Amino acid sequence: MQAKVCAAGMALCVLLVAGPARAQGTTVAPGRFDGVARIPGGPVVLVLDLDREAKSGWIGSITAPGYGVKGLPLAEVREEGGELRAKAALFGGATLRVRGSAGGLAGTLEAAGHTAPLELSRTGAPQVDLPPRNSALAAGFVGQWSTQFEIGAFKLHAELSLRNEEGGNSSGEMKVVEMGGSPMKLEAIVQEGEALRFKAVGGMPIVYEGRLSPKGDAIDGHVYVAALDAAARFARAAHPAGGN
Amino acid sequence: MGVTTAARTAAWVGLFLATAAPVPAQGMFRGDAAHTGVYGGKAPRELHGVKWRFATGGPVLSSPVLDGDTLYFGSGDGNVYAVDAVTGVQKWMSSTRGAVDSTPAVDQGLVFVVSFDGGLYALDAATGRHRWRFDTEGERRFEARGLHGLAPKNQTFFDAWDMYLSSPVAAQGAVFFGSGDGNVYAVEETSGALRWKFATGGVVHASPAYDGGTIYVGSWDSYLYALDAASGREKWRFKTGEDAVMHNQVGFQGSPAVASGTVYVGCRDAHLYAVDAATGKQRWSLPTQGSWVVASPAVAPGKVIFGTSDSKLLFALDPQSGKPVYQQPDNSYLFSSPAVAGDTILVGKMNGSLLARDLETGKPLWEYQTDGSKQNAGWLLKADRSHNDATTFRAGDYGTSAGVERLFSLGAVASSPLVARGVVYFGSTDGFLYALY
Repeated sequence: MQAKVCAAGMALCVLLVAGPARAQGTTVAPGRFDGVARIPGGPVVLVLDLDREAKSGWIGSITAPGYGVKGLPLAEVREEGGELRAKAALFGGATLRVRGSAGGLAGTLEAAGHTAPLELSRTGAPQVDLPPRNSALAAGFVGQWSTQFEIGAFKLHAELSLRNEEGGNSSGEMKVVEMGGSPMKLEAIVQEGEALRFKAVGGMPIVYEGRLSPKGDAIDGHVYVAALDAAARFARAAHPAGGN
Repeated sequence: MGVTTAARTAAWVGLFLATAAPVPAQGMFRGDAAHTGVYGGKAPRELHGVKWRFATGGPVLSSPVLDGDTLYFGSGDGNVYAVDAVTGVQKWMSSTRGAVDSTPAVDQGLVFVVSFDGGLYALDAATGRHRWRFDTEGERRFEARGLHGLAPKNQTFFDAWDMYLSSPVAAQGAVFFGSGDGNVYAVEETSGALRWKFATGGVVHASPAYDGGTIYVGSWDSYLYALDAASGREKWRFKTGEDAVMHNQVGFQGSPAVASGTVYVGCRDAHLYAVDAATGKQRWSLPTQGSWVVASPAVAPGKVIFGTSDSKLLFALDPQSGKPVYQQPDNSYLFSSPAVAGDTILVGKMNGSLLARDLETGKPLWEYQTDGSKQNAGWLLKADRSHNDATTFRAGDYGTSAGVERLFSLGAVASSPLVARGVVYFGSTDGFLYALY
């Protein structure tokens, strides 16, 4: 009899614990989620990392091992009515809509006008890939620069803007004039001594590696686009207003 | 069920105790500069589960190496990764401009790795920051007219089976590696300055082995070379088979292992060779029924162990005579170089499995199958998990990117396993690095 009371008490405890857990089934929790989007022709493996962040509410990144995508940042991450929605530059531009499920997340991946079911299991704590922090720039690098270079048969002109930001990091843009459109944002800006390296993203990624000339009026280096590379000497176009 | 739970608990406890013990650095391809493929400690004799898996953006052909608590490896997504061996959490990621289908070498706080962008990178082992980069004359895959019998016979095809890049070896303050430009390079560890380069007649994607002041490396020009590590001077060269028509049965893709004065190396001319390390004279050879030996041999006491491609055999040979101690049939092409830990052999398979075998007998102990292999999209595998060549190479595209990509969709294990603290680490073409216990 005593054993039966104990068993009933245990069952009550389980219900009390399980009740809220079930209720959380519709709530998205931070974590690493590993699963598939079921697109025609076979499931696509995806790994999604989601974490809470004081400033914007949520941050996240996505990895698609079969598509050369590692730690792509999520954009416009919003939670509304128990659904978390985010955008990613995956498959030409994708929207993820997920809700908490028993084992992780369930929802859809929308891309190219199609919608695929998404099922992800929680495998651990979030490991959000944050974009690499851009290093602060020495004053000699800050400002506007321009160059021309030849990639294959294409003669291109590029304009480069570099600045320091509050908090000890930097930012910048590069615009390839002949490609039109918006300037490409610079990532992974690393300056060590006279050496400068960055990656321009927002179209076909362009990597630049160069060194500031002794006079400080040019950055001599190379642009790398896919398997191609070309010498590119950035000449100073304008001095920064107020300097830095 | 109760037994299984108890066994798993015991395994976790064992794993916990094992992880507390220091392990010697295994910071190069095949564990050491001589590439013996033998690891300290023991491997699991039964599979308990996946400890963790780590996602990258591309196929992982690179083999993980260990230094302290950190695993280092490359990925086809162009990145080099440092991952905590215990938790599977990323420590850093460092980008190159090409696929990193090479295994890193760790020495003096630096990680050296070759990228398909043609560069040898030196990265800070603690942060992943670029220290220096050495540019070769450029990477390329092996290529030939009418390769593997592909039509038209006058067309030059690149070899999609040439999937690895040379893995560097660090010794004597230098980093030694081969390149698709046909050269073997020696570069100063600290500065990245060229010490010497040696021109061969073909692509060098095998990893050089170092032993006693000599570098041993094979080239696609059909020669195995012994070079003085200090000067790059040729000590001897050993000639293997030619194939002037199909270019199928020629060249070194696998890396040598050096032990007790003998160089053991597999060749695409369908032989495993044992060559005197001092003189370059053949001691013995074993024909493999027309099957490539891409895998680098492991040299354990009393056994030289390696797998073959098309004949799908795992051999254990007597190191002195070359006579088989045993040969065990498999059901998959074996490109992965076998690892030996304690009384266990671990080998990756192109059908998306990792197989553990008993060292003494070669008999299977356990097998882990990746998700891609389980899904078996397009029935690339038969019901017994052997290859269905009719669906895999459906358009006669053996050796082309299309055929090899289909194999990769199975989560093929072309990476060579690493064993440390009772955990088996390996990469898969599904983009994950796995830790099994």
